[in-house]
Amino acid sequence: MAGTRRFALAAAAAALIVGGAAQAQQPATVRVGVIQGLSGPPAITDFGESYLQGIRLALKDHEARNPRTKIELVIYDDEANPQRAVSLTQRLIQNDNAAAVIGTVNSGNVLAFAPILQRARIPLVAGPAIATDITQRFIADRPSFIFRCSMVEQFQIDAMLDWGVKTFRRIGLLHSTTGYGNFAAREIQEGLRRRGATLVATEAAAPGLNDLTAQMIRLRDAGAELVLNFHESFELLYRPLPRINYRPAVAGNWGLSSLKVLEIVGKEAIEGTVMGQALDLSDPKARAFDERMRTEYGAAYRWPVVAALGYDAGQVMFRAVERAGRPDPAAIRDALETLDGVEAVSATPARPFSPEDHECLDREHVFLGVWRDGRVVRLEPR
Amino acid sequence: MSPGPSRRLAPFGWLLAAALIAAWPSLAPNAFFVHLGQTFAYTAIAVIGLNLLLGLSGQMSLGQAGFYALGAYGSAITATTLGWPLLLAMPFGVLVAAAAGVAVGLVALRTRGLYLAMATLAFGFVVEIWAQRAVDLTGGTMGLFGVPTLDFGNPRNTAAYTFWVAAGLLLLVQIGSDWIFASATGRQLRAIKESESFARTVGLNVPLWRTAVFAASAMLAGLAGVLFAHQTGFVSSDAFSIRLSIALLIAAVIGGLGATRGPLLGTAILVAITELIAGFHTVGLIIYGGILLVVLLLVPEGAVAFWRARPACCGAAPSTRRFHPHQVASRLCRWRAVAARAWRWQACPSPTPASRRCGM
Amino acid sequence: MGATNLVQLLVGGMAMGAIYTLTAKGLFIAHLATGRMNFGQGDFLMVAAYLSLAALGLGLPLPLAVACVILALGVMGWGLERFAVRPLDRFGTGRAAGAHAWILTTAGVALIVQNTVELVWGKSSQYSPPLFSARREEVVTIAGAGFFVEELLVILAAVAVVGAFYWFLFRSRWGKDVYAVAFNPESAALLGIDVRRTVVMVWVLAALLAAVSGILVGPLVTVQPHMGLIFTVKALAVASLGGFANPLGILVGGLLFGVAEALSNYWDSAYGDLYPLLFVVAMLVVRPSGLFGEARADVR
Repeated sequence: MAGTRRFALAAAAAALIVGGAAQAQQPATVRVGVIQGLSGPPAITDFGESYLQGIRLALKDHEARNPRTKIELVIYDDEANPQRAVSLTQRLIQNDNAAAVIGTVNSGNVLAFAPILQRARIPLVAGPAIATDITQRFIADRPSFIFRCSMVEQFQIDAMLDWGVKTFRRIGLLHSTTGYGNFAAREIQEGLRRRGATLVATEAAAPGLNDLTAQMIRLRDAGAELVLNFHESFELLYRPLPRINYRPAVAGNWGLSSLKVLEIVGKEAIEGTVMGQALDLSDPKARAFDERMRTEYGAAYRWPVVAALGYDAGQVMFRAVERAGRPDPAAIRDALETLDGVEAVSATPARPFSPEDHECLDREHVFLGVWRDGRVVRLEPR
Repeated sequence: MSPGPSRRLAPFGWLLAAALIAAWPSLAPNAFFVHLGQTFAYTAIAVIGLNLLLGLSGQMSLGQAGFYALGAYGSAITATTLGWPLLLAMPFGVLVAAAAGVAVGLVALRTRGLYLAMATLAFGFVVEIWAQRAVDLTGGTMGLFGVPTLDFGNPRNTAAYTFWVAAGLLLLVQIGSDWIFASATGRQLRAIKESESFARTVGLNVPLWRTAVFAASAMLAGLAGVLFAHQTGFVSSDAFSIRLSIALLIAAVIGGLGATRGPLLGTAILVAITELIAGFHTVGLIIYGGILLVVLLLVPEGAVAFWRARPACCGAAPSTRRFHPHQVASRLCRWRAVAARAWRWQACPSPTPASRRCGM
Repeated sequence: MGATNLVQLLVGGMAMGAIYTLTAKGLFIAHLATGRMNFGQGDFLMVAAYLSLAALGLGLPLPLAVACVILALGVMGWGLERFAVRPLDRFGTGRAAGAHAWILTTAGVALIVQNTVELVWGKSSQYSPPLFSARREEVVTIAGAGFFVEELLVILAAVAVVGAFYWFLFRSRWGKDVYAVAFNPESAALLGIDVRRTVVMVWVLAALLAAVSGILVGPLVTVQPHMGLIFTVKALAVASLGGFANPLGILVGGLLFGVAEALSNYWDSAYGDLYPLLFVVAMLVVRPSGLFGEARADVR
């Protein structure tokens, strides 16, 4: 009797221990929500799809390293509509139990759902939105759950204006009438004033326009030697130039580094165009990444710098999730803030964030690129 | 026209709806469904307005997003920049939209058909462009922040309160719509839709009616905009594009134009499709287009036809009691006849002993 | 603004206006005969632009590429009428409750078409090779002002197509059939006109007009899958401006609209897209049936 009972007790204890261990070894699945602009005009979809390509490759690499934590991406398309973006955020938080979110293209959309995520205490890695104050708005709320892995508009504009004011006397601006364009216009005018210069002409254009002849005629008649291009249809500015006999230098934000723009505008027309950059293709790591993306996605891969930042955003997020080990938003946030040893493809440093700085790319990591012979390389200061 | 029994039973339907509204925040699987309920409620209000305009008085409007935007901005700007209390700001938004409705209605008096569609389309674009460019006032595409939400001092229950306000208003608007459709007003509007010159000869003041309906539908679209603005506390001009006008039109037509229950059905379908395709970013539009095609090819009068269809071959039900076996059988026969119609693409299945038995 | 600038803007505006005219004529003819139109006319234009750039990219000579695109769009137009518009009539036409269903079925087809193009070619903008010149940047200078060869030839081609369209409508037997059906389908049937065939022909013709405008528009603008809706809207504006009853009005309306667009962008670039719309609204208030439309009394 006593032997059987003892045996039964031992068996039960063994079962419990084995069961408990099995339980502990069962990997927890962390859901990471991704909201991107994946439909609509190319000005949106090129950004959204490229960033997503980077995130997906980062997930593949993460899984290849055999991690403890299983990550599931829940991908939604916000159609560049802020109402959809907010609705999808609610869906991720309440219905899908996402522990973290990455997204989106429109800065307006990010500013719409960032407060919701901050209130719900769920970390956000924003991107590829570039509005300057996305993380700044929340950095004072300790702890801030809002991070960003993308170009910051202010940094591009600063770099561009520093170079532009030194190299040219007459600078003109073409901007779109959307929030992005107006924002950029304001920052440029501010920046130029600080540097003691003014614009010789400012032209606006609606986002859906087909033809910029009228605006370019005005810029030519004002004598602009450098035209700052802040319109979403990046290639549109080049089209009327041959007909109106005008060949200014062009500089703009990172949109001008898209391979699609090269294809549409042609190598000769785009030669010498300058843009904000964070990916130096002469760097071997960047070149290796470029090759891998081409193999993985073929012709669908068209924007190296945005894909690179998507890759780094994914890396950063997945490493943080791995360190946290469980679907705990607060733990993921802390892991993000103290992350170290990141081998980024873009210019993101090994330790991207700190309690005062939630930006992947800081001022010193943004530089100017230029199109030379069909490739974007670093612009060497003269 | 709705037969007697349906009209007598209407108040029970409303009471049932009120009970459902009250219970929804507790019944919903999670808070996201309460958010969906809010979106459904105010979108349905706008679609009811479009149904009155297009379905009842026959005036096409492709610019409802313009009135929606005016309502949203009217309320958001006064509540945020001017600091008005919500009880003043929200009606003000509705008033702005109504005033615009009167203005557009007056212009609409001179145009008909597709020209009216173009004029309203242009109006929608003008409002969207103004909202996008007048950045100092409206915040443009970067948006207006800090719009007060309906929390009545208790922020934890904001979602439920917003839902109750929106759904309560929807119920009132639906009751109004039911009343209009069944009343003399509805008949007069239908007469104007059928033939304006005839309506004039029997003494109807056609311009007044047409403008009044425009103002009413604008007011409802404005109310929807007001609720939208206060749902998340953020208003951006990106939300008021032509896609919104088209979505409202889709909801009105797919539900059933000219039927008072059509908008509810149509909005439910619209919200369901939108949430369904959210995860399908490569083939989402094919699914959306496919659903539109399939539903309208099956029932061109709209989804409400599944309830309304009464092919003569099914005969009239002898009993007026709702759950009498004859009623049930007749309704089943109607459903089968609709399906048979749709499948065989004929107006009515040829008389067979089975269908004669339907009439009983 | 100098004379050179003015002329350049005018020519550019007229080229785009010619495209809008062709697209609007497609809407016009469908609406004339059946009271309905293809809500996805702009998306058909987009498909034609994509097929054209694919055909030219494969190295096909221009006439063959044009023939292929026109054939493909003709089939699409036939399919649209057969499967998305005609079934709506099976319960009787006219003032039935389903009178607006065609909007959604044609819009549904437009969405499916757009998504299919996205799946095949991707969502980005595409480079469209020039039709008539060796390089896109080929510029010809007339009296000191530079013009793209493409633009000038597009205007000429559009005028030629409009001319052919007129001949078809007013000179040929089929055109008279169309007007007879437009006036009253029942009496047309009684007169021995095959109403069904006329209706099918009208929808195919509308698709062919979209094909031609799509082929011509490729080199002028950036081709992307999302471009359809704005062309549909502008075509509707042009058709309203010119009057849905008169093809000459649409030509004038289209050219006016294109020029208005170009000039208003010059004068005030921040609101350049607003003024043409205001212009259309103002015209509709002043002349409710369009520039050349006849005011028809409402005697139903």
